[in-house]
Amino acid sequence: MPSSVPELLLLNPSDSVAVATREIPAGKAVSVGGFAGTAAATIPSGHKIAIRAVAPGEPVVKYGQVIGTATQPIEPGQHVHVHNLGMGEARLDHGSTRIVEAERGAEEATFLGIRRPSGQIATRNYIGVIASVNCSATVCKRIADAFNGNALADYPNVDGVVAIVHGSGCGMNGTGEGMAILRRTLRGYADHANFAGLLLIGLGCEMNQIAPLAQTLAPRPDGLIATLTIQEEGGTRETIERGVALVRAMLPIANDVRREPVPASYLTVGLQCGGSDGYSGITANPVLGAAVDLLVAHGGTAILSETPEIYGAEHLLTARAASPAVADRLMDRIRWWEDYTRLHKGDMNNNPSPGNKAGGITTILEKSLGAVAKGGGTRLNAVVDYAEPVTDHGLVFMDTPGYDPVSATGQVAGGANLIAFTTGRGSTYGCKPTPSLKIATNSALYARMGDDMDFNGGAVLDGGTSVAEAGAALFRLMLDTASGHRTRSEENGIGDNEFVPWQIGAVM
Amino acid sequence: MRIDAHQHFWLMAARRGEWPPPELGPIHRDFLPPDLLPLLLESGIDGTILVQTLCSEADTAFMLDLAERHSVIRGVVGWTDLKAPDAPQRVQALASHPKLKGLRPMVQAEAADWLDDPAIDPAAAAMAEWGLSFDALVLPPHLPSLLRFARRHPALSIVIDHAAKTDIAHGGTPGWAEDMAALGGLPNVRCKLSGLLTEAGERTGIDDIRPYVERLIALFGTDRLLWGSDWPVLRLAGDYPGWLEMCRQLVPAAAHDAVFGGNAATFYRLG
Repeated sequence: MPSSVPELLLLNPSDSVAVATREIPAGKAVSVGGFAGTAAATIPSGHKIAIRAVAPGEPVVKYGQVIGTATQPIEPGQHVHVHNLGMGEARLDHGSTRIVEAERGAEEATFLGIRRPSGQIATRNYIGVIASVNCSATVCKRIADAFNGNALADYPNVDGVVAIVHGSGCGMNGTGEGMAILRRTLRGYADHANFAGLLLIGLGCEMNQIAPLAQTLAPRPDGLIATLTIQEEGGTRETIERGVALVRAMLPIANDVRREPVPASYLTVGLQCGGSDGYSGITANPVLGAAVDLLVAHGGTAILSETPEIYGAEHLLTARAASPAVADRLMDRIRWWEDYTRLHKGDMNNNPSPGNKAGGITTILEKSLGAVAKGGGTRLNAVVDYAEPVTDHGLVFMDTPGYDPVSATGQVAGGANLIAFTTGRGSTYGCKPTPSLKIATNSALYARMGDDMDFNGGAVLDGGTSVAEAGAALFRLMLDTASGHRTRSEENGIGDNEFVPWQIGAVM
Repeated sequence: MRIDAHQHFWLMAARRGEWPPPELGPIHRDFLPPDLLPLLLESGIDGTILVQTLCSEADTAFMLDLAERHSVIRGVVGWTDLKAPDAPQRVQALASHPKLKGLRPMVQAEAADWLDDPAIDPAAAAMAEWGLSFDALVLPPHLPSLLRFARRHPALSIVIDHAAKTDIAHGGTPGWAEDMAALGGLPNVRCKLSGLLTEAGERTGIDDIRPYVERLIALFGTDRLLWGSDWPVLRLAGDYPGWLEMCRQLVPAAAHDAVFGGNAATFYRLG
């Protein structure tokens, strides 16, 4: 690591501890934020040093959140770990924690969005070719493929034709939870603002029929929605030809859009982290959290997900819930996961491993906070099921698995018109029709995979920027991206294979 | 709790040529919760009363759907045909929705004696019975009949929208103050401190507005005045924080809690 990295990192101005970025010998003079003192003991890299006195029984704060309580008197400069920090009686009931309200500044944050007849605001302008069942997947892909290359040269406002295909839609119970999730996900994509036009394609005899889906969609202007079934059209070739003609007829209508300034409150950002590393929790995730706090201050929406990764620290979120009903709904989902994993002979233990503890992670709250930090510190306004439409503003939790493409698919179905994805190892994720920003947790990754990374969260370690400054810069990048600025994954043509609805029902 | 007691959302596609016309550029477009939220956050307003703009139950359903999905909308003032033979049943059905707080016929487009027609009385009685309030969208010529209507229905809670749109641009409508004084004497009538800038033409300075606000305070008292933005119509004449700040200067500080929230919470029975 370059020597310009500060020895101590203050993750949030209200924290009572700072994090050592390298081993600090006992007796060394150190300073961070408003604190100046000496290390009372050797502080290993990644471990915590107290920058304020904490009395026994009082909360210890990191990421602006309570990570436990002091089990002994803690003096500034002391090492804070298992010997003086425990879960204790940490009060994390509903409404017991501090709610962050970011300074929004005088300027109203806006982006250039595309206003749809439904009143929705789009960040991209695609035509979607959606399969009801795996049996129509190839036909959908062939139709979309017909618009590769220069086929869209005359339609500069159309971002592309994208096939939304999957491995499911039949061989399953017609009324179970699995079918409900698939239908909700497909409906969410079909109604997504980023699709100017829509072609729905079924085989004909599948369990997940086209007609009930088409009937429940929000109204679209004439000429911008069509359905086909392969068995009615007389086969694969006929359906492809007809589908290509239908999409071609949509192009001039879809192209006739203009971006206009709209408030940032129309932005719904799905939060993801994948390929995490030891820096995720102290760089990219808190930076994303700072950007989310700004987004929320401007009326926008952020969707935190990946239930198994917040397990054990759910009380951190329920403590910030806008109402007891919101807290109860999150706890319901946690209990569902406990049952689900028990059924599959797994467990959800998320306690810090010996490796975590050696790395300086003391409590389960602290560990999960690294993931939860993406969501910032504002009030939790709603909890929704997988792929359920997100209409509340502010911070919202969507119950999803931890697996990134499945989780992001649920967020996009819920209405996310931007994805913000932190990664330490180097994810290349893209997910049409929603642009996906990749945020590197360390500068080495940003340098090594620069063509895949949109933002360097590692700059808070070695770039001389604070978490707050980096968060503000990331928020501006979000607005620019929503305005049409292309992400790396869009430039690389990624995002045609990332539609992965959650499958939980029995395959029959 | 800070409440904006009067604002609107609409989708142009649902209006099919209804007001506003394209000439009213600042408001001839869709307005939805995300358009208003930044202004509420900036101004520290916790919730709003969403008021109808079309004479259709479809518009009411649209507003109730928004209210179910956006917690910032604390109540909805909807519409049904109050003179229809089955109006009492429709009123009862609408009242079963927890966020439907009141109804508003668009009296301003009707004859001056529209409220004298006994055909409205069964619906008005049903509104009182089922706990719905009555938003009176009237112009100064309607005020005498509104007074008779309010006397006929003492159990019905009535609020006069936009102070009956007195013609501030031309020094006020003759007779307005007298008619409003009579209404101010009825305990079941309140008035909204809203819409004044829209009627003020070029006279939108605080000193142009001051006499009207002072008059309303004198007639209704600060316990029966409800501040509202009338956004997005407000965009024709001013901006959200500007109108709020002007009113905060014109209303005595001791009455801010009531005028900017408490009165609306009471009148619209916000939980």
